[in-house]
Amino acid sequence: MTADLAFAPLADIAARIRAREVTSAALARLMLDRIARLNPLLNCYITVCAERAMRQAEALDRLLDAGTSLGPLHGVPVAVKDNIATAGVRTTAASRILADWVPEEDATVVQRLKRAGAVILGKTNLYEFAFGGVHEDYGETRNPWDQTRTCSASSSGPACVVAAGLAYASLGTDTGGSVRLPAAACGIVGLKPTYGLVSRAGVLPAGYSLDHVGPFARTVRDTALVLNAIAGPDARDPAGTRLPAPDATLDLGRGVAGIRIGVPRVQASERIDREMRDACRAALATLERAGARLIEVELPDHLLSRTIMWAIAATELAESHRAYLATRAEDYSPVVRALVRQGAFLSGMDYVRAHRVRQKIIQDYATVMHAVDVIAMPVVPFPAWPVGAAEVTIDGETEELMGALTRYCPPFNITGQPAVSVPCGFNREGLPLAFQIAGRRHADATVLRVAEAYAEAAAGAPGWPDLP
Amino acid sequence: MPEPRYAVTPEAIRRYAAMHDIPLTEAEAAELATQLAGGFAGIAALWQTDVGAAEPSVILPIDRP
Repeated sequence: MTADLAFAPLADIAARIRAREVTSAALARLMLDRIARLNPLLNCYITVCAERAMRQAEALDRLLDAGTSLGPLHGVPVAVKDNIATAGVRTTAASRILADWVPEEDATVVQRLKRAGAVILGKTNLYEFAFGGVHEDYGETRNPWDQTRTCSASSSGPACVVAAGLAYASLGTDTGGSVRLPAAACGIVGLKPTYGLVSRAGVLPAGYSLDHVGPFARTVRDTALVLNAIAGPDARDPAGTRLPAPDATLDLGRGVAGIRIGVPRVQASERIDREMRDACRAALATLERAGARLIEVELPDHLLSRTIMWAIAATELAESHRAYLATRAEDYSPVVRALVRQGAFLSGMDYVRAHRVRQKIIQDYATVMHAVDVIAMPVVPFPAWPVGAAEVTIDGETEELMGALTRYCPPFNITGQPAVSVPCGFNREGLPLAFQIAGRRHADATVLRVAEAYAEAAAGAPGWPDLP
Repeated sequence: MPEPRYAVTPEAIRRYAAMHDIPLTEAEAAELATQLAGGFAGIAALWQTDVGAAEPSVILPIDRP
């Protein structure tokens, strides 16, 4: 088994399993061997389910021997962020508080992955409770492209395992950018689907009304295949969609001829790394050459969206953590303890006001979306940062890192629109660059269509990190 | 609409924490007051935004097409 097989697209792997060219057990073994070798370097898995994964893979091989395929993910090894409940497997949320919690029931998304035939390799690292910072008990996930750098926040582990060839896809969660940001830092595709399209039942909340579950993969088609497996109504998630999920692969391959792409006018508060900015502009030019029409649009102030995100998420987080805050405050990392406490001190009036301004932002974005099919814009102002950094300097201006990080992602958590992070090259230091494409609510297939068209039109394959 | 002034003092933080049974030392209250002063500076912008046509009753069904 070669590294090429470890980095093959999920769709190809699934086809080879169906064609009996390779077994699920052999692929699970390949992944587990690589995890044993590379996890000490990358710190991306918290729990590896080696025996369970092998049993599951062998059972799926027997099922295929008997002529039964469970679907497009049959036999494919994947990973799950460790704030998503897994029956019989500890789910820590990278916290000391839940270090020994073993759920009795799978989250709906895990049930659906299993029903689609995926093999669960293990639970991946993240920021504590998917919010704000790393707990010292778990440590920072290291970037596969440069191990002195982070994988961004908060779904650092799910992004890392896919970029490092330690799973063919993974699931993360996104409250203010936590799927798209690590996807960008790791040079892979990360989708925050339409709000409510994917159930959050069994997922530890960061901010109930902003939380999304989304897939990571190395290609857009693979991302769509995983979305198909996990999307759709779920009675266990009261905020979930009531509509059947459309086929996310439906529009792939249709190109972008005639697609109207909204390009936001630069805002006064924006600062973006020069190489990242140039890469985003080049990506837009590529899409234009492929037949898309670029239309300048004016979006609401990104900083206002960031404030709304903080006010809502911090308050909702504090409400759900009230008991821990009262009895186990010392078990949080200092950063997350401070954030949870801050949420406790926002008033009910502030929380409702944030939701009213949120509604205005939703209306303003809806007006923009009447004139365009998608919006294309940066996903993050700078590439992966050094482990331990608290500030970032862009264009000579130094600012607090987490504030700068969440400049471009929160608007789509607030509006619930689908948004995907797409790799668009590397900087001079070899770090991945990326941009994001956002669409109308429930137009996830259009977002993926544009993303795939870009990936097809962009010259050259991305390649994968050089790992031992 | 005039926005709230958010007079975030350690004493106010301590009283609010006691009301909600949140354990907090004096040093933590002082630190939190500093952090919140920054956060509330952003929140004030929410009160400067015209939300005349944005009613809270339509908060949740944002996933409905």
